[in-house]
Amino acid sequence: MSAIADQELEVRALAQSLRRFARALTGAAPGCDVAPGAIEEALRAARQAPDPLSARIEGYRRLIRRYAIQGEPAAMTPAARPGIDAVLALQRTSLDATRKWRALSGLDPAHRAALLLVVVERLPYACAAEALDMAEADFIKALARAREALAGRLAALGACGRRHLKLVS
Amino acid sequence: MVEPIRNTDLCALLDGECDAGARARLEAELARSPQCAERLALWGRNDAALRLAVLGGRHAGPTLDAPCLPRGSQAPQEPSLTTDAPPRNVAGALLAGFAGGAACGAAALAMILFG
Repeated sequence: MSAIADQELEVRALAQSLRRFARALTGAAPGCDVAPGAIEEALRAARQAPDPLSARIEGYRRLIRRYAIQGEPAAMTPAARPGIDAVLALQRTSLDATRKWRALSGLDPAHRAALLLVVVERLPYACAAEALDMAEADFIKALARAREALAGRLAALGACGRRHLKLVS
Repeated sequence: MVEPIRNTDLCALLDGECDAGARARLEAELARSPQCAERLALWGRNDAALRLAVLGGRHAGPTLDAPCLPRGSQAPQEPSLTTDAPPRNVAGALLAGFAGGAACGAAALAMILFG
């Protein structure tokens, strides 16, 4: 495969990864994307990076700054590719996945970003800390707090769900 | 004196971020601390659930029962059921359609239960 084709595949994979990250970071509704402008801006910044890993870090950093640090409200659009997003949306709509999605959406944005970078995007701590503009030691503490918070929210939502189920029955 | 296990240690263990020596020490500590072992298992299950919620079923990834995949080099890919790359397995696609109907029902139930 030519170098240009390789590069194109890399860019497509990066765009896909940034879209997914932005959706999860902003708690986008199933079938919705954050506005394409935000992804394009992150991609432009990523393309200036010297290597693929740095490009990913730079892309995530742009989205984190925009949505988690500056707190810009995410402008939503219907998903550009309904095929894939419909599948993902359906996967999210099982009762249990909905609960997890709600628990994640309720976390502090910086905690949500830390969890997503490590657990979903599988970045090493050093890279995730860089994307969040944090020292690695601070990042690890934030990640531990994020996991505690997620467990607490899931427990609370689980108890709430069980109460509702009892009422219904 | 034995050092207590901190939450940051549990994270490092879960994410494969500690060296062999630290890993062995933590695993020995965990054997003596069922509370910490339970917290680690819970976090591992939550991680798997988070991956499932964001990436979908085929990408739920490892839990504590399975070794962690190496991280860093490759972003996980979303399922390839795109409009420009139709699924090869037609039966699978039909089943996915039926599952979709069931999931929509579950979504309606979720909305009733959780508002």
